[in-house]
Amino acid sequence: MAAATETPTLAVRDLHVGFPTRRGLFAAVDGVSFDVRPGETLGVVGESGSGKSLSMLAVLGLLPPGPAWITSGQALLNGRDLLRMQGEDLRRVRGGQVAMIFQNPTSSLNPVFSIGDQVGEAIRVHQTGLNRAAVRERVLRLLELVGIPEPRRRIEQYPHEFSGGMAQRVMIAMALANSPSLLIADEPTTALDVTIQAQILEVLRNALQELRTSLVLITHNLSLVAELADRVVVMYAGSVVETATVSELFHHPRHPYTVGLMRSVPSLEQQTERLVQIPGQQPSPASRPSGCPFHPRCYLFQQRQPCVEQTPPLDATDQPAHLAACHFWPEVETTAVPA
Amino acid sequence: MRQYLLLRIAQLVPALFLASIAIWALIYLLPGDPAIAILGPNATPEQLQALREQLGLNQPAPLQYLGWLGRVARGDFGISYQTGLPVLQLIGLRAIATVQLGTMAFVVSMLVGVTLGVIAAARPTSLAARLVGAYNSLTLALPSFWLGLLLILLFGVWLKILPPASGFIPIWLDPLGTLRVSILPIATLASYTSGIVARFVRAAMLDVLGADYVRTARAKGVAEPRVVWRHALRNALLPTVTVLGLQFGAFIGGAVVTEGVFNYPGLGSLVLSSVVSRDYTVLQGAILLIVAAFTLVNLGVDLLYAVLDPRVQYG
Repeated sequence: MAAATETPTLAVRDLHVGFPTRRGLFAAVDGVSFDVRPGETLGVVGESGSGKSLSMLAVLGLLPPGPAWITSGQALLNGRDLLRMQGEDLRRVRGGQVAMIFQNPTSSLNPVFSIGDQVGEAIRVHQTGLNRAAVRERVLRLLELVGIPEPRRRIEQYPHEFSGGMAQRVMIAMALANSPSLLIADEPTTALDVTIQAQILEVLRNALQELRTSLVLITHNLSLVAELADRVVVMYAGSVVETATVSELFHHPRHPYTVGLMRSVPSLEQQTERLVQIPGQQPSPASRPSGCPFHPRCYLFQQRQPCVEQTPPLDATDQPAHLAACHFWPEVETTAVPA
Repeated sequence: MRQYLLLRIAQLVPALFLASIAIWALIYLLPGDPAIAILGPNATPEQLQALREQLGLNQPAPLQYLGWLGRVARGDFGISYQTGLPVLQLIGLRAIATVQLGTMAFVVSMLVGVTLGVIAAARPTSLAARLVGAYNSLTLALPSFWLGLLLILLFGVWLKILPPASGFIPIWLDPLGTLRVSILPIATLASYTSGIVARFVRAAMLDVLGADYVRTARAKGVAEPRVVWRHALRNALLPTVTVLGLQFGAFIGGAVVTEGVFNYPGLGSLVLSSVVSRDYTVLQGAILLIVAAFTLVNLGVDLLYAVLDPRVQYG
């Protein structure tokens, strides 16, 4: 793993994402900060609606059309703030230094253009002056890199002729076209069946090693994080509640939400009658509880005042690199979770 | 593909057959006697009877229809009651005139409609988008005969920069002259369709601009104009093409009125004058030709899908 003193590839600082509504600001991401170091894989986990995807889309200015999004804070890519970038500068970063792949590979490819066209375009928009033959040669090499058989035949085909797994390989090839320093993968295997998931992970792992690319892996799948990530950021209701190295997080969680997440993964060793879940539901940004946003669902709450009155800051715990946002983090390890 | 094409062309035959019955019956059932229309109110009963026999008007209706169909199938559309000329010859030049005007109006309405629709969708809250919305409502609300008259009044009578009535100049003989005499009828004919196209393109573009593959295009660093005009528009045109095929009917309907207003010697004004003078043979021939053109255009639209959308395969 990279040393902590290295300049981060991406440094997100106090990121807020929201839009105004008649009943006040809808704050979907509420002051998120984290680093992605060169060559590392950072897992970002949380329930649906925790703001994990939105925060990464906001970093690249790719928020979905519709609401009038307001983004504030900083996202420093090798020292340059992506949130202040516009037009041509931003275009050059997208697909150049930072690439992104998405959850639904089949709908993420344009149905009316051939695969060769689409992967080739990723090269051509960043490197002008390459002739057709050179682009085609590089597309073929990329398709080989992600393990697409018969690339010479496949390059002429259209997205509807690709399975989900093959389409995701195309997306990865497209993302790696310009050897980015950072790849953001938003639930890259969620839409695929389990055997294909493993293959896609293998492709990702190999490609990242070859290119020394940092990866932000957005997922709700903890086993995926355990397998692929070096460090983890846990998000809840628009905020980071815990961040640590993978082994620290799995062996010594310091936030009750993380404990709940890990307990809700079904295990093969322990037979259970029912799936374990965290009681209650994640609050909507429009009705966030006071103090710690997790307290209504927390087994450590026990009607204590600080949980209701103060939002716990994301602070160092007993390990300096292990941060948690809980007033009573020392109790996490000593308190048994009620069944 | 070839098999599909042959099948589709074979399917045109029953459609045209049914259309021929409808056209023939409709005109047969019209009130008024062609013999009186031809000979005038002062003709003697003997003269009328002689003419009816000569034209076969006293035969039973099914026989009249079959006789007409048989002649049409051999390419004989009959003789115009009014002018005494063969119907086919009468229609021929006017069909060319209408196709020329219609093609130009079609191209204009496509260019204007697509451009306005894209602009309105790319920035849905901008002033430009609101202006496009106003344009759409206005063009849909304005009847074409009235718009035509207003344009004639403004450009032909007050400003005197364009001819108030328009003749037919073949575009291959004098392109500039053609443009000069056709610009007002083109504007009249294109305004309604351009509004329809703009509405459909706008709706389709709004849909497509939220699609995952548009986000992918932005994420890989494609510049915004290229995202809109290449990645999104190519997909938004697919539903629009269907509308265009169906609009062709409205286009011909508009041509009848517009050609009448501008006194343009096309198929539309021929239909109009034939209705007025009860020139049935011409009317039947012209409408049959229009129906055939309509079915052919829609066949062309279906085939166009295969070109525009790689997912569509015929055969």
